[in-house]
Amino acid sequence: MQPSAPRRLLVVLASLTLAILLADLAGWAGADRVRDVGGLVLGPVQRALSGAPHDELARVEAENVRLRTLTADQQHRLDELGRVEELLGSASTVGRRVIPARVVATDLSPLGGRSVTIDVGSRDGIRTDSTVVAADGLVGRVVAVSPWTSDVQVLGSADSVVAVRVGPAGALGTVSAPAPGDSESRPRGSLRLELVVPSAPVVGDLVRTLGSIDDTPYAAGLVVGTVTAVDPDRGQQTRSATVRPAIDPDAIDVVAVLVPTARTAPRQATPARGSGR
Amino acid sequence: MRPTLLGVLRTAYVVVAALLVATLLPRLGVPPPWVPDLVLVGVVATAVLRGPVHGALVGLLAGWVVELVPPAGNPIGLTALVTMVAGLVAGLFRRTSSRSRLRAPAALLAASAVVLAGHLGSAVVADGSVEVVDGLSRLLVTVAVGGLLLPAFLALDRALVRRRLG
Repeated sequence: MQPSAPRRLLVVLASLTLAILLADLAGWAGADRVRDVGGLVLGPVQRALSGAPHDELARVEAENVRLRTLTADQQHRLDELGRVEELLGSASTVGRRVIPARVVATDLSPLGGRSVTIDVGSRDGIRTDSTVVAADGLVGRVVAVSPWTSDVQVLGSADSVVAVRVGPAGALGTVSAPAPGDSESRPRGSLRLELVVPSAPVVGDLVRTLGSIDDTPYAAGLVVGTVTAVDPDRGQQTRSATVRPAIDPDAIDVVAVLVPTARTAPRQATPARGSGR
Repeated sequence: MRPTLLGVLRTAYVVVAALLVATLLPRLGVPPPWVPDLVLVGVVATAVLRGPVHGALVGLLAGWVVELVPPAGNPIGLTALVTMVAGLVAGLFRRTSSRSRLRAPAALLAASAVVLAGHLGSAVVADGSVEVVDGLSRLLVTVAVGGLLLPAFLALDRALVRRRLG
C-alpha cells in the first residue's frame, strides 16, 4: 500500500482545493480568512523585501494624497458652482423660473444629433416639452420624463425643428438639423435655417426662438445661434442659411429647465405715446 | 515522512521564488510579461525526477504557496489546481531509461503551456479579457530561465539523493 499513499494524499488535497475554490466562487467568507493567513505570514516579509518607507515618510505621503484629493474635490465643486452661477445669471434664464440640472448621460443618435439625460424628473416638477437652456442659449426640449431623470432632445437632432426669429427685424423661420437632401454642404454640428418669409438673412444675425403658447415646447427669445453663411439665391421662394448653435452640443454640462408659467392675469391696455390725451 | 534536507530546500525554494515573483521582480522594474514563473521551474524539476503523482502533489502545494503570497489569488485555489495539473503533465515526462538533456525543458514547456491554458481559460470564463501575447511572452521567459536553472536543480537533486539526504 506504500506507493498509493502519495496518490491518496494528492486526491484528498486536490478535493480540498477544489472545495475551497468552489466555496470562494460561491462567496464563502472563510475563503477570505484563508487569504488573510497568507497576508499575515508573508506580508511582513514582502514589506521588508520591497523596502517599505519609514513611518514618518508614509504618514506625510498619506497626508499629501488626502489633501490632493480634497483640493481636487473642492475645485470640482467650485467649478460646478461657477457654472450654476453663470447659468442663473445668464440671459437665457433671467426673469424665469428654472430648475437647475446636470447632464448624466448622453447618446449619439445614429440619425445624427444627440440626446442627453438630465438628473431631474417628474418628482422635481419636470414635464414633457419643457424648454432646456444652458448659459449660452437654447439646448433643446424635454421629450421623456421619468421620476428621477428626463431625456432631452438637443438642438440638431434629426427631428428637432425650432421656430425662430432672425435678426433685428425678426423675420420668421425654422431651424432644423441639416436634412440629407440639403442642397448646401454645412459644417458638422451646424444647423439649417429656413425662412418662412421672403427676406434674406445676413451673416452675423442672431437667431432667437419665436416662442410658443405657455412656453412649451420653446420659450420665446432664447438665443439659438448665429447665422454663419447664407445660401446663394437659386430662385427659391424662401431663403435658407447655415446657423452655428450657441451651445456646444458635445459639451453640455449644467443646464436649466424652464418652468412653464401660464399667464393668468389679463394684459392691461397701455396708452400709446403721443396720443395727446 | 521524516523531513529531509531536499524537502526543506524545495520548500524554501518555492517560498523564495513565490516572494521573488510577486514582490521583488516587479519592484526592480521587471515588466509583468517578462517575469518568469520560477515556482513552476521548481515544480517541474521535482516532477521529471519523481513522476506524475509526486509532481502533481508538489505542484498543488507550490500552487497553494503562490496563492497565499499576497496578493492572494482570486478565486483562491485556482492557481493551485492549475499548477497541480502542470506538475502532473511534467511528471509524465519521466523516463528512467533516457537521460536526454532536452527532457526537462520539454516538460517545462508542457507545464507552462498548461498554466497558460489555465489562465486563458479562466480569463475567458471570468471576464473575457484575454492577453495572449503577455501569456506567451511569460511562457517563453519561463522556458528560457528554466533551461538555465533546471540542469542545476536536477544535478543538486541527484547528488543529494545519492548521499541519502533526499
